[in-house]
Amino acid sequence: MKVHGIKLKEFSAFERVEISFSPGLNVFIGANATGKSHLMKLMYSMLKVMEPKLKRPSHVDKPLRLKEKLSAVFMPDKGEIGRLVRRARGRKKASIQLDLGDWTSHVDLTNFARLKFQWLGPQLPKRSIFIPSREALSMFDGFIAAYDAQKLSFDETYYDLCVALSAKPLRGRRAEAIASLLKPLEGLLGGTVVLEGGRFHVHAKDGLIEAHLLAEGFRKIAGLAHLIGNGSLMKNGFLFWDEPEANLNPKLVTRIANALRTLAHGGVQVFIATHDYLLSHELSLAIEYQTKPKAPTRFFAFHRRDSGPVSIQAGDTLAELEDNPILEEFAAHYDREHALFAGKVAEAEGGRQ
Amino acid sequence: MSTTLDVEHLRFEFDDAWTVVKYDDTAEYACIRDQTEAKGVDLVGLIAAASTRFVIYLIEVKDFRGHRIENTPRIRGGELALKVAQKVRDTVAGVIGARRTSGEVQPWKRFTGALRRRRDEVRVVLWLERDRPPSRGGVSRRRYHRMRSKTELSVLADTLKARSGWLTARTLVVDQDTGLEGVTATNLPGAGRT
Repeated sequence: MKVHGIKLKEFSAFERVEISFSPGLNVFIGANATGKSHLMKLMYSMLKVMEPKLKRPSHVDKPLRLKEKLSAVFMPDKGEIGRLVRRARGRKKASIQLDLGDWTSHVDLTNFARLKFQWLGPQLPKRSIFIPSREALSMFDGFIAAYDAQKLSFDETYYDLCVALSAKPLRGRRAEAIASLLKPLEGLLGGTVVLEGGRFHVHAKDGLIEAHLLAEGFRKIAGLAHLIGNGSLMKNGFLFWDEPEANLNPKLVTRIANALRTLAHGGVQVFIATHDYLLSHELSLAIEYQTKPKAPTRFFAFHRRDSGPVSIQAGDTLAELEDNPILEEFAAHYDREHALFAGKVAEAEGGRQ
Repeated sequence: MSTTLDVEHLRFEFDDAWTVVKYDDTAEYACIRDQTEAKGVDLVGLIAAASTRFVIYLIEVKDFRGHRIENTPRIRGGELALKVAQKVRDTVAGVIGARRTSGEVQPWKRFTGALRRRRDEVRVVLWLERDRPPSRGGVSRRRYHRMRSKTELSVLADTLKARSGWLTARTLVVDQDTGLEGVTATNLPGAGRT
């Protein structure tokens, strides 16, 4: 199962948006507060509550479970999910339609928190993983227990991620099946990721290295490797990753770009939100030159004109996007340098505002 | 009166604020080149930034249009930045030598004055023309390529800065799109052809 597209009406920063996704890699770019993370969290919540667990999820309590999930993932004030409806006076309703190929999933949500949720298909989604911008490996130790005891004010994506990280590594044939995904990441880390005594370590040539002693960028990679190694990221599953580039040096960013493409090539549908020039352009370059591993990719520019609603433009490469705030800022940097070079300090400072 | 100078496949027109010479065509450059194998930048120019302040420009022109494949590794690998920086170094020596030994007082006196006085400024410019992506595609695609080009020029300027810091921090890489104030560049016949 893949998410083919989504229609949003009056949700969060969006008034009316309809987009089609790539079955492989989907790259969201846009300035802050344009709804990139909200869209990822929304899709994650809808898919997550429908995941098959030990017991097939009851269709009766679906809306309630989605209500709780949205509240825990978005953390609106007092848990009021009606606040996710685009702000306007009077009664308002948001509607969301997730296109899952042969069928759809609908959500209607009023600003008074009345929610209807329909999953109109026979199939349930495979595992969804949401990786927030802050890495979770170093906070793993004791996080689940503390969260369960309601002692932590983190959104539930951190909890879900820690639960996914707590799973044991695959063995036997299943481990062999994911070896090709895992190997490049372990190569980067110089070892394998192990969970011992509730703490993560990297088993390298020189022995065990505590995750806490690794640079944050490496901890992110170790986390990703462990999720692959324990089967949390699987074929036909979903990965949502908010700002993969956060705290990574540029060398690792290019490796992460490659890892994302490898995952998408391996059948994981990937959604990322990024502000990074290097990451977004590495991914676009791979499409422009059709380099391996080939992964179908689509780029989405989130843009808000003045204080109006956010619009989303899609393209197969970055060059097809009219609004590219990352590139615009780099080009503006050149313009500022050009102005300063010419002694036009006021012009350069004006451009900075 | 404006000054028109041709370098590679580009015609540069400097407005009347500029005093500019095509340095590597001068007899003074030929002298230092023959004696020491020194290199030189293409253009040396001077403008008045204020009544008592001047800016000297050392401008190297590279027209890589039609030669992208051969030249991409030179640009990326820092070889180009080093070559330009060496030309800048040799040009400073050549200008000072010309002031001492040339039969002509100007423009060498004005150039050396600007090189010597700390209140004046030295600016190093690499004027780089590269192949542009095919013109097909809409306005947004052309805008995208222009923005991306600026980013690349900015990255290249950083590598050049790292080689020119001994003389000045004012280093810039430009092309016809971004240009320099008071300078118009147009293509000569044959531009972009291999």
